[in-house]
Amino acid sequence: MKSILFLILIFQIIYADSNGELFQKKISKISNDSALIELYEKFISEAAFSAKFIQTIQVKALNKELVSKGNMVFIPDKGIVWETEKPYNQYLLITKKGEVFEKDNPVPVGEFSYAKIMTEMINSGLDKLSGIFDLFYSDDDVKWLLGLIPKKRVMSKFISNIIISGDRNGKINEVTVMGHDVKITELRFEEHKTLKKEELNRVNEILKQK
Amino acid sequence: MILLLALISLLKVRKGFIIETNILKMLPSENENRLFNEASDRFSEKLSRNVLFTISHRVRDSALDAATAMRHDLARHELFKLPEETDWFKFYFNYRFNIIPPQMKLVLIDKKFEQFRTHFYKTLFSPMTSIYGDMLNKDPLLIFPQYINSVVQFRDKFDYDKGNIIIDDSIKTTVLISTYLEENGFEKEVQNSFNDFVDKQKKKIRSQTGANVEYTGVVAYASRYLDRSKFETGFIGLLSFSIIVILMLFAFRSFKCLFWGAFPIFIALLCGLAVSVLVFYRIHIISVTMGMCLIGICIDYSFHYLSEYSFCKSGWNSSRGLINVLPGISMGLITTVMGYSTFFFIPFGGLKQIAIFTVSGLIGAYLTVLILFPAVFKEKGNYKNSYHFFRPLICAYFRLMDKKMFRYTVYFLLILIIIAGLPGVSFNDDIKVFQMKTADLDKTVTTIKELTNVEYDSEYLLVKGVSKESLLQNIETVTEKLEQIRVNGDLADYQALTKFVPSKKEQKADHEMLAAKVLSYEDEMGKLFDETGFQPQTLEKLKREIEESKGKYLTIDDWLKSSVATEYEKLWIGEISDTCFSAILLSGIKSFELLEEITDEDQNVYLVNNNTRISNLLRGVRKNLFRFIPVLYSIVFLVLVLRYGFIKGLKVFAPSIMTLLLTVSIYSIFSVELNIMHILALILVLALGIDYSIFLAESVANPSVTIVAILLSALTTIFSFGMLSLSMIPALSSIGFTILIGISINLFLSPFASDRKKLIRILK
Repeated sequence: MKSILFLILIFQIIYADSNGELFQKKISKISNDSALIELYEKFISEAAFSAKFIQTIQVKALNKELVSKGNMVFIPDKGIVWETEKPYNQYLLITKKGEVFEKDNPVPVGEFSYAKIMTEMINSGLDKLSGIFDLFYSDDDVKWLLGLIPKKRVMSKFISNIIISGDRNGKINEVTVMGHDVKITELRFEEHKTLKKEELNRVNEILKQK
Repeated sequence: MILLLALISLLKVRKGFIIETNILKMLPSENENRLFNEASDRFSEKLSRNVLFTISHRVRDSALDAATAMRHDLARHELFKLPEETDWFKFYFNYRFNIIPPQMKLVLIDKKFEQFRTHFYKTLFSPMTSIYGDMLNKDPLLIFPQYINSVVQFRDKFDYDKGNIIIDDSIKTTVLISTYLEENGFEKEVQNSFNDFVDKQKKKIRSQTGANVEYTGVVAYASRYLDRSKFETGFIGLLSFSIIVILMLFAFRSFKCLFWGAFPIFIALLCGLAVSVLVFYRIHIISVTMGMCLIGICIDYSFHYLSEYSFCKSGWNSSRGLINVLPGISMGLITTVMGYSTFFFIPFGGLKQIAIFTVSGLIGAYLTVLILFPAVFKEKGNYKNSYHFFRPLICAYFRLMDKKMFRYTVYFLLILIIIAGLPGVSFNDDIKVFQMKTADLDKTVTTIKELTNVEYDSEYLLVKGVSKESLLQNIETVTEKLEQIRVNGDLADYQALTKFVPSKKEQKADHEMLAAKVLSYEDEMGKLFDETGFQPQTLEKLKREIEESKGKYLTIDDWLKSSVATEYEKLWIGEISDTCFSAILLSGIKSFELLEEITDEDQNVYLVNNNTRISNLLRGVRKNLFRFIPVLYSIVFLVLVLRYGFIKGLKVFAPSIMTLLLTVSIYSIFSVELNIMHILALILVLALGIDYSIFLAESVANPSVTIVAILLSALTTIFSFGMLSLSMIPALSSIGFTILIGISINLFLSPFASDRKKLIRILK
């Protein structure tokens, strides 16, 4: 379930300080890469937390970047709250099944069309992830980088690769989605906080209704 | 006469007589909805053209290579129409201002600009926006991608390439290739051509790439049905005929008796076929299969005459011989025709065909014996026969039957069976009990359902309109209600024509709504575009394009001509008697009541619910038949009383009524639920079984000869219908098994109707 975050991250597109070396070593068998397994386990075992996000989308047709900001709450085995605060207000709930709802709308919205697959993918672990993407991994003492190159033709038409980076505690700090000739989306997470009990109960209650 | 019949059959068959393999054609239709029925038939025919191939391999690239090879062959084969890769953009982009997606309509309806602004932001800041790239230049409001997302459900777990759907799981990659037959999948030639193609492809793809090819579609089921029926028709016909040959040779020991005795079978089949092809344009394969049982019935008349001829000791007179058997075979013909005549009152087209085929055949066989046999068997030859073999067996049985102890034990046991079984009789009217088991084909369907998670129910809505525009408007009225049902969770999804081609009225309203918003809030729009970084000229261009698209509406005819329609074209049924029809597919129906509410309120809509409708109809017919059985038995009893008086009439009748009760009880004891075919078979058991008692009652001159003839007749009937009980087609199996049990019991009990003491005396 925690992996939903993965999914959202991937689609709420990114940034990466594209480390050129990352895509030189493809992971052929996940079970052989203990560092990646360790990281993944750390990631999925994390308690509920919140973080601020900044999403930057670059579109050729516009002479400005599209920047949105907000707050994300992640609750293991329950779902995610994705609250955009600027430049407009939107409160999205992503259930553990990957369905995306607006707060007061019982019908799922279709904007995060990949949410479900990502949920499935992450719930099923790294093996499933490797079925959809070619995986690349590198780390040092401070951070790790996970590179994903889509295998599916429908996705690879638009996305060249995705780079996720984080710290040694398993926290994700940045996600970057690259088009074939341009960086298209960058998502940064800041101010990670473990969720207070009252806040956790409040969000749980909302998610339970979906 | 024979030549004439042969000529009629031959001419008709050569002119294109059709064997029907569509099981639905066997089933009843509703006369009061003739147009809807015709539309439903056309829709079934369209669905019969869908074929889905699955190509799977554990290596993704091998699966894709195999799919490419398969597509190449499909594209070159004249039987298939392979959809091109759908270019939605090319077709729909120019109509984007007239076909507004539902979620955007909600925003445009709202008079305040704030709603529009929020929607605009949400669309623009969606993670998907980035991948639209240049689309924002052409379509700054992103109407087209929103529309496509609302129409086509791209599924996340699928990959799409060159019109194929690719599904990866942990074991293998499966490629789905959807294609369409150029012609009706129920046609025999189409099925043959299809099977030929599939067999070759499976071998070719397997040898070239190692990939596994499976397929599904109505054509596969119809073909399987035809193959099975053809096999069973041949099997039953051949085996029945072989048994008759063996029995005749054994009993009469004469090739003359064998040849002329079997001649009525030939005439019966010829008459049955000739009358059927004259009356019906198409004859159902099930009717042909069951018609083969005619062999086992019509031989009875030959047996009676030939027994009289062969077993008579001296002073043979062919006319006298005919007079001896005439009352028996005439009564036999009348009761059998009466039994089969009940099929005319059942609203199943196929049963009427069976009745016509059998009754015509029986009359042909009867007349052949009546006219031909006295001339052919004028002189008695010096043949040996097997009467001496039958005599001690029959004698022993009648002696046993004459013992009170044996008779009372039999009565006791029979009554015990009836008491044990009769109260527990249960019925099953579900149409599904008549569906042939096709495990391998069903497995492919299940696999595809599991892979795609897509399944449309067999129930659907038909909508009509006096013109194309009126039809589209009527569909829009219905889909509004369906949408409400869907939102409330009583329906998973639906697929309607207006999703792809809205009515002109709707398109006009959409255009006006959009133009009003963009033009009335020109300043706000300009500010919004500026805030988000659009080029200054983008808004002017948008306004100009909206203006230019006014009145340029998408029509059904344009849509049908395009490649985007290939997959959904089936929703458009066409015009029937100046009325236009379309189907709405439904999935995940949880409440039929809500759907029925729609059809009750709107006479332009009709719910095609074949499973429930036919199951209800079967229940109604079964109940009526069950009430009809006592009436039929009473009529037969009355005829017997008029002919033989009350006591003898009762004795003749008793074995038949006991047979009825025992057969039903045996089913009940073995927990077999009765269906309408069992009930119909019980009527046939009466019609065929009563003959044995009648023959015995009518046989005054040579009762022992009659008994042998009855034994031979019963054996052929038991074997013919016994073969039918092995049928893979459940409807035929139910009939066959019931007649097998019923006639066996009847044969055992019919001597109760005879004067045992007199018979034992003669047999001695």
